[in-house]
This record gives sequence, C-alpha cells and structure tokens, in this order.
Amino acid sequence: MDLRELTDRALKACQDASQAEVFAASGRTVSVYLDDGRIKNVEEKEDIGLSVRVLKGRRVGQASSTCATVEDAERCARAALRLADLAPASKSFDRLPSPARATLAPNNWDPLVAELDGSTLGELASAVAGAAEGRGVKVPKGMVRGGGVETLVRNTNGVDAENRYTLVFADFSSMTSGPNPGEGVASYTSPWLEGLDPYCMGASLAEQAKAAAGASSLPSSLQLPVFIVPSELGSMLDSLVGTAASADLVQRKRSPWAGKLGERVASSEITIVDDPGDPRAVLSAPYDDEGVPTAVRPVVENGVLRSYLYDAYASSVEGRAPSGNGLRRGPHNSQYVFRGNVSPGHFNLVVSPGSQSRERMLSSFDRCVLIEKFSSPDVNPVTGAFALEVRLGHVLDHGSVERSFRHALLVGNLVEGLKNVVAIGRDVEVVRSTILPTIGMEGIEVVGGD
Amino acid sequence: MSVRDVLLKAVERMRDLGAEFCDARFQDSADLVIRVSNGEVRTLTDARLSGFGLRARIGGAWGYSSVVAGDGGKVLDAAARAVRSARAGAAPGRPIQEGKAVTGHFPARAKVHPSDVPVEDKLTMARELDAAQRTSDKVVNTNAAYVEEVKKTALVNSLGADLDWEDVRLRMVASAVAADAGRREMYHEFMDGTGGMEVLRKRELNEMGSAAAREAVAMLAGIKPPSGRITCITDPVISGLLAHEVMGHASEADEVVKRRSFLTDKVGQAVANEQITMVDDGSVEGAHGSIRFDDEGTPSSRTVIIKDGVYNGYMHSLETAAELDAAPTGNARAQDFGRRMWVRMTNTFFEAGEWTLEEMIEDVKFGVITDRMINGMEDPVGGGFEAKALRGFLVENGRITRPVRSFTLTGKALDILRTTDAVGDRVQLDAGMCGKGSEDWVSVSSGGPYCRSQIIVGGD
Repeated sequence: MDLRELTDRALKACQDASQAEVFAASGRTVSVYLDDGRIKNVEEKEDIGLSVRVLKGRRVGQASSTCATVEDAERCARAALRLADLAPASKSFDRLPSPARATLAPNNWDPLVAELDGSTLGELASAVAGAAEGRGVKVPKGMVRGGGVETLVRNTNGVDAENRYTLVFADFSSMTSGPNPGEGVASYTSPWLEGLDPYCMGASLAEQAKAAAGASSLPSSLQLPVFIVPSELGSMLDSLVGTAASADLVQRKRSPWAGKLGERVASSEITIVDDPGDPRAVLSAPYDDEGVPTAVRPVVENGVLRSYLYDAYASSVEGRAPSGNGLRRGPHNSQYVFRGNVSPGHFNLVVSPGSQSRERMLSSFDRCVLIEKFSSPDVNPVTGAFALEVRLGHVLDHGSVERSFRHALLVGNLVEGLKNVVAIGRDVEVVRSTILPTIGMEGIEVVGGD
Repeated sequence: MSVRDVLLKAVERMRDLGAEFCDARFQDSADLVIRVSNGEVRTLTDARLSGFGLRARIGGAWGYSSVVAGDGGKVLDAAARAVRSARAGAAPGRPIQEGKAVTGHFPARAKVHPSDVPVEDKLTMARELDAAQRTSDKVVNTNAAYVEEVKKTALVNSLGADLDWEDVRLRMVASAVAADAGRREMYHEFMDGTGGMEVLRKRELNEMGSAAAREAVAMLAGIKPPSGRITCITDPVISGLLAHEVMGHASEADEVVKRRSFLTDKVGQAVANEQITMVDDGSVEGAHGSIRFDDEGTPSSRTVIIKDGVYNGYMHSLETAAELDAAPTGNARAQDFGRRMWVRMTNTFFEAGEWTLEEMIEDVKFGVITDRMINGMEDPVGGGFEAKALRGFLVENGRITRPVRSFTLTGKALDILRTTDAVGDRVQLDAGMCGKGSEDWVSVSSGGPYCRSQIIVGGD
C-alpha cells in the first residue's frame, strides 16, 4: 500500500463530488528521550493516512484518517462526501487549484536522517549530555527526533505533486545543582543531521544554566534598547508575522496588518522574505500542500508591507490566484502530517541580516539589554502586544555584562517594535520556520520587581 | 483476529523477548470539528486516528513502537521492535509493582451520546453561536467552534490488566474581535466537559455568543495595565494557571524522580499560606480533564498536593510510583497511541476558602483583578510563574474602576503563595489543553477560587 494507491482509491470514491482533493502522507519517526543524563526511551513509529476535501458545487466537506488498508481511504472519502451534503454553500470557494509547473526545487531530504536508528540518536543525545556534564551541569531532560515524511497531493483538476523531506528536532534542558538552580535550554531544527553539533549544544546548555544560576531579580524597571537572540525572536516573529501576513486573518480583520499593503510596517532596515526554496528549512517544498507551485515572496521589503499569503480558499474570497502558501505541516513533527487542515502560512520567514557580529553590535551601545531566554516567547497575534517572563537576560555596558537577571517581564508591542529597530546582527540561525539574526529594538520596557 | 487477541499476543511476544513489563494499546479516536467565521462554515471535518502503541520496559528503559496496522503480523513485528528499542536504553529503574489489575468493558458516561445526534444539529448550534456575536458594528469578526472527541481505548498489560473504555469530550467556543479607532481586541467564551450532549446545555448559545461580543467591545476601552509588584486578585482561571503551570507540573513525579522539580523533597514542608489546599482530581464528574482510566489502565483518582499550606504529595504513573514507593494515582497520559507516556495532570485546582469576592476587593487600595487567560508556562526547575491574562480591571480604594488590557503575571510561585492572604469561597474550573514542554497535548482543566496575592504584573 503506497500513497499513490491510497489517493487513487480515495479519488475514485469521490465520483459524486464536483471536485475532490486528496492529501496523503506517510512518516517514519525515531525518537530518543534522555532522562537524567541516561537514555530512557527509544521509539520507532510509522504512520500513513490521508485527508480528503470535496466540493459539491460550493459545499465543502473534509475528512482525514489513518489508513491501515485501502478501504480506509475509501471510507474517508465517503465521510467527506457526507459532510459536503450537509454543509451550507460557501460564498466564494468553488474551485480547487489547477496544475502548474514548479519553479523551485529545494532539496531538504537527508538520507542519513531517513535511515536513522535509535542507537545513532542515542549516541548523539548522550554526547550532548556528556558535554554539559563535563562542565559541571546536568541534563535532566532531552530529546532528539529524526523523521522522514513523504506527501502526495492530487485533485480532480489534474494536480499531482509529490514532496519529501526529513527533519531533525533536538530539545534539551540543563540545570545547575544547589538550592536555586539555573536552567539552560537548547534546541535544533533542521532537515540535516550534520549541523547538530552535540559538543557545542552541551557547552551552550552549561553556559546558559550557569548564567541563569547567577542571575537575580531586577530591583527596578528599565527603558533601554532591547536585543533578542534568534532562538527567542524567531518564535515571536513566527506568531506575529505568520498571522499578520495571513490573507485569511487579514480578511477576518484579525491581523494588525489588515489594510496596510504598501504601507510602512517596519524600519527601513527590515526585509522579510518567505522562501520555500531554502534547503536549510524543514518546510521548504516545490509545491504547497494544495499542489500549487511555491515562490519566493517578499513580505516586508525595506520596511514596507509587500504581500499577504494565500491558500486556495483565501484567494477565492478576493477572486485571485493562490500564492502557493496553503500549508498543513509544522517543522517539528513527522507524525500524522495528513491530519492538519489547510490554512495560509509561511514556509520560512527569512529576515535579511545586518553586517555586524552580535558582539560588535552590542558593544556599540552604551547600555542595552540582551534577552537570551523567555518562558514562552509569543505575541498576541491580534494586537502585537507582548509581556513575557524573562528567564535569562543581561544588562550590558558597552557589550560587557553588568548584571544578569530573571523573573522580570519584557513588555512591549512587536508591531511597534519592528518600526523601532536600532540594529540587526549577522548571527543568523534557523528557528522553527524562521531564519533570522539578533535584532535590537527601542520602546520596550523591562519590568522589575518593585 | 480480534483487536483484543492482537493485544494479548503482542504482550505475550514482548514478554517472550525479554520485556520485564509491557503493555499494548489500541486506540480509535473520531473527532468532529465545525468552525464558523463571519457566518460562513469554514471547517466541517471528520478526523479519525487509529492504531496500536506497544511499550516494553527493561531495567528502567522503555522501548516504544506504534503502527497503523491492518493485520496482527505487523503489530507483532512492532512489539518486537519495542523490545529491541528498550534494550538500546540505559536507564536504571525499580520493577513495576503488581497491583489490582483492572479488567472489563467501560462505556462512556454520556446521557446523550454525540453519535446519536445528527451532524446537522451540531452545525446549527455552531452557526447559532456565531450569529449571536453580531451585536454591534464594532464587532468585526465572529467565530464559533464545535469540537467533539470520541476516543476508544483497549489495553492489555503484562500484569493482568485487560480492559477497554471510552472517553467523550465536547467543547464549544465563541471568539469575537472588536475594532474601533485603530484598536483591536478579542474576547472568548467557552462551554465544555466530558460526557454527552448534556455538557453543551450548561449555557444558552445566544447568551454565550453575545457575551463574547459584548466583552470584546468593552475591551476597546481598556487602558494600559499597571506594572510592578502590586496586589492582584486572580480570577478562578488565573488561580488555576498558578495551580497547574507551576505547582502542578512540578508535582508530576517524573520531574521529581530526576530531581528536576523545585518541589523535590518538599513533602511535609509548609509551602503556602495555610488557607491553601490544592488537588489534582481526574474523577470530577463532567470536567474537561476527567478520565475514566489513565493510559496505563489505572483508574483516575484524587491526589491532595497541598493540604492547608503543607506540601502533601505527587502525581504518579506506574513507574514513578515504583520509584518513590507510592501508589499509582492514574496520571500516566499520552496524547495518543503514538506518543510518549508522561505523568500528567487531569483537573488541577485550589480548593475554596471563606472569602467572598466583595470582601477581597474591599480591602484593596490599589491593585488589579484578572479576567480569563491567554496562556501560561511551566517552570518546574525554577518555580517561576508566568500567566498571560486576557484582560483585567483596576481596583482602587475598594472598588473596581476601569478595564485594563491584557497583561502578564510573573514571580516565584512559592513567594506568591506565601503572600496569598485571601482565598475565595467558590471554585470554578476552566478547560484547556496542556503540553509537556511544547508538545504531547492532553485535555485538562484547572481552576480554583478568586485569590488575593502580591504579584509582579506588566502589559502593553
């Protein structure tokens, strides 16, 4: 039973529909979990399934299912047809994408990852822990995952697009000993195994935990330029730009960038491109998950909002062609990829770097704040506001650490922060589905204890 | 071969290959999701996830494997892989103790099972909830969701457990966005629980939808919240976040076994004001986090975590109970058959005290009262607390005055609990999804009464 056979059977079962689309995916996932420095869990998982979307005129029904047999694919198709019979007609959505030739051909399939076994991953995980423990810091919790995913999307208009990619996701937590331990966190997301350097990761875990142990509460609040490292800013940009540029959320007036196309939304140094052709990223693909060819698309160019991102549904609302941004997948997970519903999204938000190293950039400021770790770096996608618990930050004097702090709040608004950029580094990292450097902004407050 | 026969044979295979403990699960979950936005049905989806999960334990190391299988042969191959994987591990561990093995068939406790109700009726409910939000020109976006989950699990383990059960969980959400003069705010209302369609009769849909819209509009008048350490009256939702994110996650015994929790070795010590009692209780009837059995087949139970301010005990899986010489509490949970089992919460909450909300407000010269949450984050290592409140109100000279926009509360949890000087007289639970780190999501609820404490706050 392969993806083509499953999609054949499902499409045949959709003959009562005016149009039908089948997105099928199979995945193999190997994970190793480390507890207290030792290999605790070794996991090997396989899955296969599909998602069916049918149109009966403008009535849309969807169903997804794991597939143990080809009959499961037919059952799934019949479930989608039944729901389409019950659905009220959409105001605009009446056409699935038509076939077109891809122009991008990213390679993000690492054969080493596709063939990974538990032993190899276990050695990697142990090496990370060993490197941290060698520096006097323990690793109570860690995980390395390798996955290979193959997808096939076909529809009754002739779309037939295959894609495959691998992913490596590592996530470790370290801590110092003693009554007020400091914690370090490090993660890695990539299609490629070779970029995961366990010794660097272990050393970073140790440094971060030691710095956090030496950090204290801030006695008062601060108003200084604030720099945020890529690992934290990436998640913030993901949650803001990822939704602000979504045509669906713009149309629903939930986006802070609604109605701002062609307007200045950021400092002129900021350029953000969605690049589905970048081989450094897990989600890169020649086609989106509706089978529309992908394209490199400027979202913000020299501070000006240039484009929104469309899937087939959102494009139908405005009577235009989809932009190839219909996505079902995420960058960390290779299980049950078929289950996600399509929505407009970005593949890789690539922020153009500056010219200075992080150290040189920071040393050019009399005083500033560098944030290394938040509790949970997200942003209100409707307003852009944030108030984030800082788990490790530093007040810097000409680039040297004046004091390290935690249990403070960083308060601001990223929509406004992007308009008040003071410097951009060249220390680019891949973080989830963003590729970006450290960025400094003004107008953000660090709220201390009293 | 029946599913039960496959499970029995898989367990036998793993034992034959050297597993010291093993279990085999079959899970079949069917979700119906309806989403309506601005009057249009945007999602009408039937989602099915079905497959086998096998676990083998050798020493203290586990091997897992999962398959979407159509025949018993593939499941038995996966069982062999689980044992091979367990051998690749290196963790020491005590043997899992035999207890009273549960056997039998346990249907869902649902008066009106959702499978007996036509999809058309559910569609009508979701559309009504969306339409009810159209109350003002300032409401620029309306959203309603109906989410139904029916999950059937069959489990056999090497200690004699042989059972199957069903969990049914329902949820409706109204989420309105209001905008005016360049400002934009969102507010939501929920109705949820375990059980049948009776769960969704707790509120009238028109009232629920119009409340979401009314409060979204009201939030447009919100001012910037104050910042710094101030008197904060946390509503049941934010009180629940404190219970769940900090005290709850740090009381999951798998964090304690590896000494990653700031509550390690705290049993018997005073950790909070004596008005504070906190429990995790998976057996609360109808609550969103309630479960009949955990994913190891242990019946859910009530665990007292803090009793009158004194730390009392942890939540356990079979493994952590063996490691810490305790009884399993029914807290071993996995997102689905293909994910790792962890010690997880169910319904976690502070119990009621004696104060009315009015009495709590009366004494406050300057402070805030929270209303609803956006999210929160755990910190088992440092004991830090982060909760993002959806909105709040200023309290000045004993009176609620103005609404404030979204803000975040932070600080060290034990410091906060030691400053708690008033605990409200009524407990409410709030439903949610809980991840361990950033994945492995399970249904939970958390809550408590209104509580008054000194907390660092800030917001834009």
